[in-house]
Amino acid sequence: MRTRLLSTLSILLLAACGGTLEGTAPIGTALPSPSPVAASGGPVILPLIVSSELAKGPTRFLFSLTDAQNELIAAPDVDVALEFYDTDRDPDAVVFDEEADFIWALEGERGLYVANVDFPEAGRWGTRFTATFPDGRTETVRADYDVLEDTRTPSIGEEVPSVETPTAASTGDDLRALSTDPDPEPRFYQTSVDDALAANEPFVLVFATPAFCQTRTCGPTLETIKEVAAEYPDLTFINVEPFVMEMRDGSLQPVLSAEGQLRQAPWTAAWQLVSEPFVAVVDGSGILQAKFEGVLGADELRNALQTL
Amino acid sequence: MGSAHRIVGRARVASAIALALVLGACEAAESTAAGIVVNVEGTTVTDIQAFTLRTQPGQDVRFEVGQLEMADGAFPASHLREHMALASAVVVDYRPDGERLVAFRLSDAP
Repeated sequence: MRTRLLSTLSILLLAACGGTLEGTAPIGTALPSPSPVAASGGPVILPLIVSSELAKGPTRFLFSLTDAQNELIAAPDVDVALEFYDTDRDPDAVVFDEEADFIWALEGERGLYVANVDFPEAGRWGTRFTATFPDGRTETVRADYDVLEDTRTPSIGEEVPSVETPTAASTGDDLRALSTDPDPEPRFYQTSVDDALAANEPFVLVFATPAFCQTRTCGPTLETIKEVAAEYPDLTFINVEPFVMEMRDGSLQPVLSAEGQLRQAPWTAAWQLVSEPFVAVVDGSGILQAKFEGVLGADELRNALQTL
Repeated sequence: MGSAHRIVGRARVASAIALALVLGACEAAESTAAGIVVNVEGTTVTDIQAFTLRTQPGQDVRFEVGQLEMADGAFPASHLREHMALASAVVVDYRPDGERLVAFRLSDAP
């Protein structure tokens, strides 16, 4: 009787609690668009659509590719061609195509692809990714996703929000109180966004926090900005931490909400960021000329700065 | 007759204890998954409601974001997109809650 009860209890425990093993998940839920499920006999390459704001009009289409074992395929010698489908209108008709450019996120180690596209309308869209490997082999996969009518962040060609951002003057030149960058560039903390706009100064605004990732594969954006900024000594660059921070125990630390979560800084809320890092290029009239979500390549930023 | 009632009564007590043990054990169950982030759901940079992890066997699993621990190398949910961009693996500590999987700690995979 006792043995039977224990056995039954064990079975109930395993059934109810799942008996989870590391790397597996017994209770799956439906996959949100856009990524397809890798499965035995499934696609050999799998896209990761990194852009969080795909919207009607000019859009930076940022993506990566992995294999079914989660190994990164994205590499400078793997070319990727894209075909775009307006799934709502005709899921099989190519509306436009584009070659993707590979950009390094961490030079020589990890990168991803970018394509500058122009969605003529919002709705359900699809992309066929065709990768050509150095040995001439090609693999292809399609993913569908939603294209929005508009983005939350300012659109290219719009006036940007004017907001006061902290500068070295407000901290007595203590850069540790302004940035979690272990090697902050003093030039990035001299001008507030509202002052730059009032002075009709073109500027580059960088929302980035190098603090929250422990591996060196994270947080390279600010380093890319520093590299390019050195080539533009007269241009204003502004770096802000996206979250509410305070000096504590000798370093800049996040101020968490009652629920223990990060809080948006006022400038982040004003720009309605969905993700970070985020880089904006603003001209002397306060008009957004370019924006970059996530990783950006140095050449992408150089090209954008030509418009100023 | 009285003996039969006692047996039925003991069986009911045993069932109740067993059920309480099962539920108690489930509440405490914590698990770990590792993989790459393939989707992030959120309306602002700090309001990330859920994300999808592709685990090593090629299974896509959706996690809701609960109250996250932030100590000892853990990172906030807003950082998931950077990991996604780099296809850089993450470790998710989570608790099942009914059919939902609720993440309570996010960290870099070794």
